Amino acid sequence: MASRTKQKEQARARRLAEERARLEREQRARRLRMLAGVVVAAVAVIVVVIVISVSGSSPTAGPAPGTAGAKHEAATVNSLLAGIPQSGQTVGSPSAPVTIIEYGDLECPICRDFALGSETQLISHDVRAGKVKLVYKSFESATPNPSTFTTQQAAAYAAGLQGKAWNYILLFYHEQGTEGSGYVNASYLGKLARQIPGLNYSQWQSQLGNSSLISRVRTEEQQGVTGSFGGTPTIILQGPKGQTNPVSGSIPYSSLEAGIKEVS
Amino acid sequence: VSRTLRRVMLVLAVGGLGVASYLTYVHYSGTPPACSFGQSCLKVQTSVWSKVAGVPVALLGLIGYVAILGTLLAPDREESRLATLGLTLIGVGFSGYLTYRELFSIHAICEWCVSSAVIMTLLLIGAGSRYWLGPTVHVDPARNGRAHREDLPAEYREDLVRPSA
Repeated sequence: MASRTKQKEQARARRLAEERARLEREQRARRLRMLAGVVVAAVAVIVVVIVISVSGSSPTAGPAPGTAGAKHEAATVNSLLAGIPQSGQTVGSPSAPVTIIEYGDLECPICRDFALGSETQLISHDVRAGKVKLVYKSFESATPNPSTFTTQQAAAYAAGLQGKAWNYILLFYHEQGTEGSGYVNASYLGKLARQIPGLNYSQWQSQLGNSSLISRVRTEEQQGVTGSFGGTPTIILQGPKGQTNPVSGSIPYSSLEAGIKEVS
Repeated sequence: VSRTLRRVMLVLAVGGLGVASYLTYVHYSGTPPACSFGQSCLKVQTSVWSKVAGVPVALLGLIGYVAILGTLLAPDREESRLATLGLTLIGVGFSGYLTYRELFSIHAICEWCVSSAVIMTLLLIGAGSRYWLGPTVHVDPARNGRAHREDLPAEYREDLVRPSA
């Protein structure tokens, strides 16, 4: 009797253990399957996001200087600015009641957006009409290293010595390369200068290392740091009624118009 | 162990949510992020890689952390643990991609972004162990070895594989 009960109990314990082992095996297999599914789904989501990220960032690069596309860009920029007075870093009539200061980085894609969008509208309407003058200053954001930054910004100011700074600035934005790809070098800077009608190339080149231009870039950069600018472009509007607080980002033309009204 | 792990993960997710909220705020307010390496955070935050289809990645992070918190606060079941794991996998993958961009495209490191990536990685480790080591089946001797939902502690009931018979 006792041994029969014992046998029964043993058999029952064995069944329990088997059942438990089976369930645990099933659970492990099920978890592994689900895990594989989740990993595949996660990878798919990441790939989609990366593809969007990469494709979304490429249109911010313009045609490289020297290409056929660049010729078209140069024509656009040069006709936009034709006939508008320029002096140093300023474009527009010296007697324009409103001054708009832009702190920018020539390699910054958001500045490119701004330059090709609202700034182009601003130049063709308000600057051309003599209501607004635009002043470009330097603040580093996207450029990978400070020495490239100083060199490229000073290259634009060197064109400014011949009253062509804005042609250089806008050409740079129109023919901007991919952020962080290290496209800015002496050859790139030279090709931009060659596209500006009326610019004396060798004179421009001789001013590239001009120490007063370089120190001007550094001073402006410091102003941006002191002013805690949130990025580039940072815009400040000045007029008879005072000046606005610095605003950063690709500001829409309507906001610029509202700002012009506010200060004039 | 499962409860402690869940608590630790909740704290981490709240921390990540804080970082992402701060970066989202900085992005929309136009103020420079507090940064210990000069302007490197600014560089990262204003780069082309800071947005995906016009949506700032900081906001994507914010949404991600909210979703992770949601799965952690949901009733502790196999499905919710799996959901946490899936979300943290996506989070780690995307953080990894962004860190790659910081290092090789922007050449600047933003400590806020790195801290978010670290938090996300810890969350993935937590979510992985929580899912894999989740409560195992209980076997009911009274029912001839068949596991049964009602015999389990309430928190484990939902995890049970129903006996095939």
